Amino acid sequence: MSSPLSVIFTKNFEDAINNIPERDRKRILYDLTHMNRQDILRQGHLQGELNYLRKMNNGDYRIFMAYCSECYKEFRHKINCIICDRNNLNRLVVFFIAPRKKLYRPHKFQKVDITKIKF
Amino acid sequence: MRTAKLFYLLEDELHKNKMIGPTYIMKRYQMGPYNPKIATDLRGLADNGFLNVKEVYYEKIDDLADIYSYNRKTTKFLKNIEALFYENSVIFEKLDVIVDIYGKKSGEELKEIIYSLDKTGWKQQRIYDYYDKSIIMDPNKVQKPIKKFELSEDWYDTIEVLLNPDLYYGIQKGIRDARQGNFTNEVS
Repeated sequence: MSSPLSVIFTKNFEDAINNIPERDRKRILYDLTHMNRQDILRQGHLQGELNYLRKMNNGDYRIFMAYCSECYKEFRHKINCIICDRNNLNRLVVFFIAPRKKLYRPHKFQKVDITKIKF
Repeated sequence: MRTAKLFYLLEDELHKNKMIGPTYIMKRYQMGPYNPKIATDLRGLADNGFLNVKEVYYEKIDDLADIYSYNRKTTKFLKNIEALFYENSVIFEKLDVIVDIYGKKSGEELKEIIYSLDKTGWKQQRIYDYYDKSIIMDPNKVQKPIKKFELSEDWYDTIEVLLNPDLYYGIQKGIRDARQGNFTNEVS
């Protein structure tokens, strides 16, 4: 079995994961930091213009990331990651995490009632 | 509703060619084939900013109707799923033909065209021969279709992302972090 990949978290991912319950957070971080090449290649790809992203379901959450090895070959000009390094491709960059239940929810724009404010 | 009639003409054309595209079940109404889910879906897209909508008063029906038009977000969304059109080009070519022929016609004109067809719907008979409010078209009933529009799990997830502004911009923010080097753990 191959060794786990290095995992790099964006600040955006860190902010999002800090908002989820601790139990889920611990499990997700454990799973992410123990993923090897086979594990990541088993995950699905988004399609179309977002085809550089791998998606992984973990409990009630979905995680979006890129595997440097495949990103370097096919998509590096789409992401333009500052740490892109052809000599260091066994890495995983994690961009975002979102609850799966809330993935598609119509955003009804609420009308704002404007009232006069007396100063 | 004009969109519903265009959908019907597409479904009818696909049905005749043993193909399945949109799966709106159409019933016969006074104003032509219709499925209320089309209005709900259009409104959902407009609520998320993917279509512009304005209410217009129609004297003939003495009521307001929603008029939809595309905007920059529509164009961007379609561009993002361009590969899906290529994968299902046979079906989208039929859609192009329908839009070319009927796209500029009014709802009333489309109704007349549909009502003048000798063979239409799942029974391949005149619209007048279907009972009022009965099902005229159920695309899922096409036996052994030669082509069916289906979203793979990956495409389904992609469209979920593209239609959800919070999620889409959340991902974009993560990518921006990667471009700017905003990481929270040590980069080896």
